[in-house]
Amino acid sequence: MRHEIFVPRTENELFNFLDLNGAHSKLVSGATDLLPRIKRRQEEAIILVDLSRLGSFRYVKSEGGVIRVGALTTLTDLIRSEVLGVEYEAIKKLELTFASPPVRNIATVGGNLAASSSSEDLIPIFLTLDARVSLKSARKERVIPLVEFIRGKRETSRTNNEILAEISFNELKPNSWCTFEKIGRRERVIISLVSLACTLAIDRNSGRVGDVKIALNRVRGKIPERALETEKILLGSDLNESKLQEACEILESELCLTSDFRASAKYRTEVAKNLLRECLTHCKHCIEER
Amino acid sequence: MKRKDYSIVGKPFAREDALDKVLGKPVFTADMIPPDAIFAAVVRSARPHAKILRLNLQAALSTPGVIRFIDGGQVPGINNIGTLVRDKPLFCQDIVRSIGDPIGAILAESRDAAEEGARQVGVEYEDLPAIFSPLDALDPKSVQIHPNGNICRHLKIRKGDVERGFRESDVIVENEYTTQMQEHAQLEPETAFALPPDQNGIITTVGPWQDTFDVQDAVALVLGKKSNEIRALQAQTGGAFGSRCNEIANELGALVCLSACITGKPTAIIMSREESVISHSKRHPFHMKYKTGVKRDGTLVAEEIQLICDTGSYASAGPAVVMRAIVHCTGPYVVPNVKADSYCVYTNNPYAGSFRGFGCPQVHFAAESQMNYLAEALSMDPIVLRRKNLLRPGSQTNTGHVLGKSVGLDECLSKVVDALSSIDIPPPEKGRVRGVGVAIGYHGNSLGPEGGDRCGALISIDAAGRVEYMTGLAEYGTGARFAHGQIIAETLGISMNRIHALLPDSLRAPYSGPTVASRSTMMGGNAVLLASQKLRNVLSQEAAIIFDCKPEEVKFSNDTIYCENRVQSIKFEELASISHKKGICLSDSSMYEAPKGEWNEETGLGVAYVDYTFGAIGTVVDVNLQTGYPQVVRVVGAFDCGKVINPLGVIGQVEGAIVQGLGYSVMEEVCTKNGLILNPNLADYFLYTSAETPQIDTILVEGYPSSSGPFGAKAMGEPPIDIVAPAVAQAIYNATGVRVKDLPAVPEKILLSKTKSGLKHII
Amino acid sequence: MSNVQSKQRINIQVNGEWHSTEVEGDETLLDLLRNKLNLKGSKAGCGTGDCGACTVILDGKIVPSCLVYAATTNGSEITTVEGIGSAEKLHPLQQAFIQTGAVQCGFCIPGMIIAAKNLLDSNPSPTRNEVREALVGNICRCTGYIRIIEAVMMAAELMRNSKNEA
Repeated sequence: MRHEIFVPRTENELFNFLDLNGAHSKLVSGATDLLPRIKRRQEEAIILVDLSRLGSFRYVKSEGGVIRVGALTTLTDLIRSEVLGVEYEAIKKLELTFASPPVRNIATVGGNLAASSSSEDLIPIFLTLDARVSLKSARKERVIPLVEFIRGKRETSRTNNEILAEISFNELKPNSWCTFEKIGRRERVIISLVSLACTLAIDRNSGRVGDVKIALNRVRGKIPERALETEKILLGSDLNESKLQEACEILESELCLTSDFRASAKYRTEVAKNLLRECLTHCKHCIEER
Repeated sequence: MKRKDYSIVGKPFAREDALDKVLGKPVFTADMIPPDAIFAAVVRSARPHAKILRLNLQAALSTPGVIRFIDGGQVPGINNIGTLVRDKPLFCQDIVRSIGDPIGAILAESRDAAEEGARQVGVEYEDLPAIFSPLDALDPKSVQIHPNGNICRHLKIRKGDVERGFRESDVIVENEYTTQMQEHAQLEPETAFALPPDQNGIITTVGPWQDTFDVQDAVALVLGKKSNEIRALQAQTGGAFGSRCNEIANELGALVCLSACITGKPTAIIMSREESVISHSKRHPFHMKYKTGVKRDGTLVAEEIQLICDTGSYASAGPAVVMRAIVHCTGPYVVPNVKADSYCVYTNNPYAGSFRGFGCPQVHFAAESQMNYLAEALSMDPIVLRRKNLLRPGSQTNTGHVLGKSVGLDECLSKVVDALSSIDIPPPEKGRVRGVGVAIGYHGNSLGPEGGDRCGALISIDAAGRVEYMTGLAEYGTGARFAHGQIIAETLGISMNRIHALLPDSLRAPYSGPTVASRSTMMGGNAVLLASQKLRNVLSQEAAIIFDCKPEEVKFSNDTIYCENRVQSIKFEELASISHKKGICLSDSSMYEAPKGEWNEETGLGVAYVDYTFGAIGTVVDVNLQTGYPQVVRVVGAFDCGKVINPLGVIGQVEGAIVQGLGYSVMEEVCTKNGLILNPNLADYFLYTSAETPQIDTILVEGYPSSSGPFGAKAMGEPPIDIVAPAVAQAIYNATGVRVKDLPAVPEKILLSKTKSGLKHII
Repeated sequence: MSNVQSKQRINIQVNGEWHSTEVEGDETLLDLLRNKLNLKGSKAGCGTGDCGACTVILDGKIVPSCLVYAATTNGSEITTVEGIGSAEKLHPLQQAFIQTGAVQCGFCIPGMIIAAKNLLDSNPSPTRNEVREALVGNICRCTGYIRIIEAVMMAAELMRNSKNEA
């Protein structure tokens, strides 16, 4: 066998190990992304550090108006967590959009985020929740915005002796809703052609958009990002038809997508516009219904 | 047998091998690899068309666990494993013609070591100009991929006078259609193992073969041995759909046998999914040009058709695919004037071969789409147009074959239309539009002009009345083997639990040909019918002596043998025991030879297939207006199946074929770029999951018995897959006004499509 | 203290039986089950978690065993198809799969039965839709799923009836 494996049982074991060996280790937990890459010789790790035994990083909790999700929380546990109410529809919908039941049982939030640009679900969703990630090492813990964590294709800000320990975001205020759409070539177990996450807050008094955050799996090139220009145009609006039309046009000009064998840039752009309209309308409707 | 109520045939029975499978018993090839086996891993070409300049084996040979490297230089016999055309080397020595071509193999102590060693083999290439479009390949100035040129086969139909026909037509519709490369995605990746020669010099190889005889012959050729020195055994097989009767089966069989001979050790190979996709055949992509002329009243007059079939780097089953394709190219209609040309063309794409349907899905997509265009041009209901022209008993086909009585097409169409009109489905979800589409088709039974068509069966009754049977036909899920058991049980009047199927052994089983063309029920069924009838006669003779009556008065029923008009009876096992004690032989074999029609390859006229299975499919599709996604929400199919031997088996085949057809229609596509497969996996190659699969209503139309199938049964494994795509395309058109002429009908093509009125976004 | 080593010893319970075995660094649970414990029922179909043929129950949850490192399963409880019923006493799922004609080539069947069992263990009266969703990670290329869904519904009924009778 080419690789060795280290299965730490405590955080101390883990961090001491990473201090020494982080440079030639690869962290895994629910190796749904890494294992196939290793098999295809696309990764050359010598030591695998499997985190799946570290229960201390597995939680979803609400503390002082902040939702904290341990990085080793599985997708199944995240989706089913009762800490997240119905307004976190985007997360509930992961049951329909994210892989399949057995994979969701081992794939972890941290593992998905660490795949960076390849995250078609969690990164767009957490970007619209203005999430922060906590990077922990033996000696310290630092918290940075998610948007700074993603550096590029499969690249993050994590240094070799750190692990992604937690993702957190401020709880959604009342009159908010977060939804998500992911489009592929079939209904389930899909590779995303377009993913769009949308978090909307309606101002109680004016009935207008108090806050809106929109993120797609690809905005410029192949990196998940927020559609900032589109958000600007929607702030303070009442989401009438002409505003939605305008937002679609801005989104189109903001997107700079690439074509590949899966889909053309033109198709992705058209669908993105349609999803934007759908998600905004849907969020508004859900907020009004509550 | 006279038409009557059968006691076993026509009844649902559970498959005999289902028990082992639900218990997870180790019955597949990779489950049975000997613990002392060494492993082989193939070194495959990374270039689509190149000369091999040199190999660098240093790194590979010093990889821990590696034993040696073998290539064409170690082949004692002929270094070729081509099936219909001997154009595919086992190991390419001078030229590679597609990415994935085998160059050699590393043998090692373990699978990991073998694969690592194979990765370390360095190959130096000199690129040659490569062709990726079959249209380019037709250009005589293009590089010639094989010594005899790029056109592997050219077939024609010349019937009547198409020019006069077009002059007489009131409306002419011309279109071009393309269909994609489809991947079998059989769930068990390729694998095989071989044992070194035994004390009699026989080399045994075990694998998921669709044709043990072909493997046996191919291995013998490579090893420079006689066929009967090779024993090919078929293990339980995890799906096939055509992939396992093409070159990959011979390649792996020959590889492990060669290694077993050279090293004296049992040798195995297990492929990853990626290698499986890269190395085995595919469904032929077709480029089709259709020009159809029709009279104002809807009568078809003339059809001019050009089929260009991309067989990739090697012929494989291509020459036979273009034959079946041209025979069916007009669809199941009366067309008096036909000029058709089908070309099987080489390119440097991955090679294409057998895949369920075998040319019929491609041409039916075009032919049925044409009918829909014509209907629109005539302002006629597409069903009415079809009824006007479809084949009926006594009709003449496009090859001039005057059909007999066994044509149930009209009834199939009626049944589907009726079912659709009374269908009960909830209305489409918000943001979706619904359309319904219907298509009809036909499928010639068994091999027809594709080759010699015979099949043998061996049946043996022991002294306890247990019956064992073996044909050389492979069972890879179709259930055909168990239908054979039912035929035997019916003939001998015994219960199914006495019957036991043996897996094919190429040295023991009488020659049966390949398990393709949905021929198992017809060919194997007839073979076991003949053999069991012979045994019944033998037993009748014995019983006649016991009962003191005439053999023709002896009856077999409910495990009992009795005489008409007599009171005595005897249990089946008693009669078997008595016969054995008397030295009567209760084993027999029979060879069934399919009736062959007279078919002229030059004109394409004559009787190509003695019997056809006819069918109709209706689909209901809801198209998502925001994404273009076509959700198939219901399928109804009616098939003229002759006689159902096992309803559970047939329905399973129909449903499975339809779901593969749905994948072909809307989501499956092997994407290539310069000969490289971009999605050699199951993440980016989309199969239907349980979530997409709609309700499928199957109507089995009996009453038009086959003239040659056992009990009148017709082939059913393939016909349903032939006509799904045009039905889905028509439903999409009815929902959105978008005509998809290039399969698959993926969401993008629907959302961003031109309609007749110009560029139209459907939202 | 677990050190980095290319071989480790683990203890796992498979189908009720404890095993102590050495595993290599990147050996998967599927490799372990098939090659070391000789349980060939779980199948290798794709190696990327896309086909479901390797599905087993690990500590009460279905997982793709081709994507789980064996070294991480120390102390775990695993159920494979071999632990579900026997020829003498078939599990209702096995019975139903045979009866409805849900078995064709059989390669997907162990994974299907495991996924279905896991569903019925927590949801004894699933709707057809719930069955579909539960099996979405199990590809079948032969049957078109319809008989399989029937089989799971039939098994659920058999299990409910025998529970009522008990």
